[in-house]
Amino acid sequence: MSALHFELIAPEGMVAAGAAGMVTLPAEMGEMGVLPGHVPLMTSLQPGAIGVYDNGKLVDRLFVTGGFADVQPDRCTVLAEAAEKVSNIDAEKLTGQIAEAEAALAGAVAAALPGADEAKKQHLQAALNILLIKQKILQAS
Amino acid sequence: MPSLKELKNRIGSVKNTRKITSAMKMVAASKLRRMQEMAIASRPYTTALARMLDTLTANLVPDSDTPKLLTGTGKADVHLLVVMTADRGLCGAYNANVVKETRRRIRALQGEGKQVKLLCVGRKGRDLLRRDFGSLIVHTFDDVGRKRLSYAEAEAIGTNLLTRFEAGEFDVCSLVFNQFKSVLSQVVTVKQLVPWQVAANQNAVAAPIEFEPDAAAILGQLLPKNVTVQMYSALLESAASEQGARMTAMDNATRNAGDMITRLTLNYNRSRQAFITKELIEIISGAEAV
Repeated sequence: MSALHFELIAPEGMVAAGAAGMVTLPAEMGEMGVLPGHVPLMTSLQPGAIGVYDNGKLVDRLFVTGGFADVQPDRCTVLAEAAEKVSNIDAEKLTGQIAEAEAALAGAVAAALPGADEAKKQHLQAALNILLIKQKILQAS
Repeated sequence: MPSLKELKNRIGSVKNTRKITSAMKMVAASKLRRMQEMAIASRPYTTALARMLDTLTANLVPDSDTPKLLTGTGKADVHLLVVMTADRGLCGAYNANVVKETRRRIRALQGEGKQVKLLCVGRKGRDLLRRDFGSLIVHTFDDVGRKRLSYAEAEAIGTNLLTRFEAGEFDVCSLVFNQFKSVLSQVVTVKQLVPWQVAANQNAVAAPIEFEPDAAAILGQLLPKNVTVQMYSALLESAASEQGARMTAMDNATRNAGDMITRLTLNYNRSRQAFITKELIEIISGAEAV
């Protein structure tokens, strides 16, 4: 069984690249695993963690805020706007960011004018949700 | 004939100018290198995204749900031009070239009876276009990439653009920016963003591909990303071109200052000699008269 070539690319540069035995992706329709020889598939990703496995063991976990995956039998390319190794996430900084995001959202809700601020509120809520997912992943690891 | 003192001051001031221009040249050179590195780093993402887009559009059966970013609004009445210039001058014809092309486009489009709107990225473009087309400028982004050009900045511009598109403010959108060819040459390029023009060669469709949830849904998410990514790569090209243009301009300025110093020094020495000769003649004739 040949290995899968895994690539995680962000606009500002390549985050990770290398051979892997299996990759798990937080796909739109639920978590999915990709093994070498997978049928060609394209999917959008949800915020979540990508797992890179080699010889049946987890070797790397990467957090993405969403993106796209292009799966071919011999490779798996993930495009993400922001990506980070789970081991590199700073728990304290994250807690601070969550507090900030919550405050910003609370501020937007308090000052809410109907209609006009709805989009902004949704945006803030989405940003907060991403941070909360990130925290959950960090705690689980 | 300027006096010796004046010449000396003049030489001093040109020497100072030369110091500044040569320092600016070196700063531009180091910034250019950074920009080029960033441009190279962004390339894998851009190519992978383009490949996905090609595959998707090739597998898509166009219907009424097809995103408007791909098919257009069905009209071409309002054109939005995104004008990318620098915030600062002293970079040769860099800003002027973009502005010249923009003017030409505006005139051509207006000649066809189309409505034109301008979105300026960079202060210089706005300043130069404000006099003639001030009423067309809908928004200006200043200080883009002042500290360090980031994807977030491209995202801010992209979001602004997409909001305007969803609000129906324009039908067609093009970018006008300098494409980096080499340090010596930057080519003004016009790139259409909306509706997105799919590359003609569709060799990406080799195998039948599964889509999750489905092609149209992915495309709906991918196209806005594409706008932002195109914006980002144009910003990088533009920033690299700016530094390249500035480097060339400052190199020329440094060389000119050098030439000027040589000329002024020659003048200075001639005047000094003439002055000494004159004084000697005066002393000798004075001594003879006694």
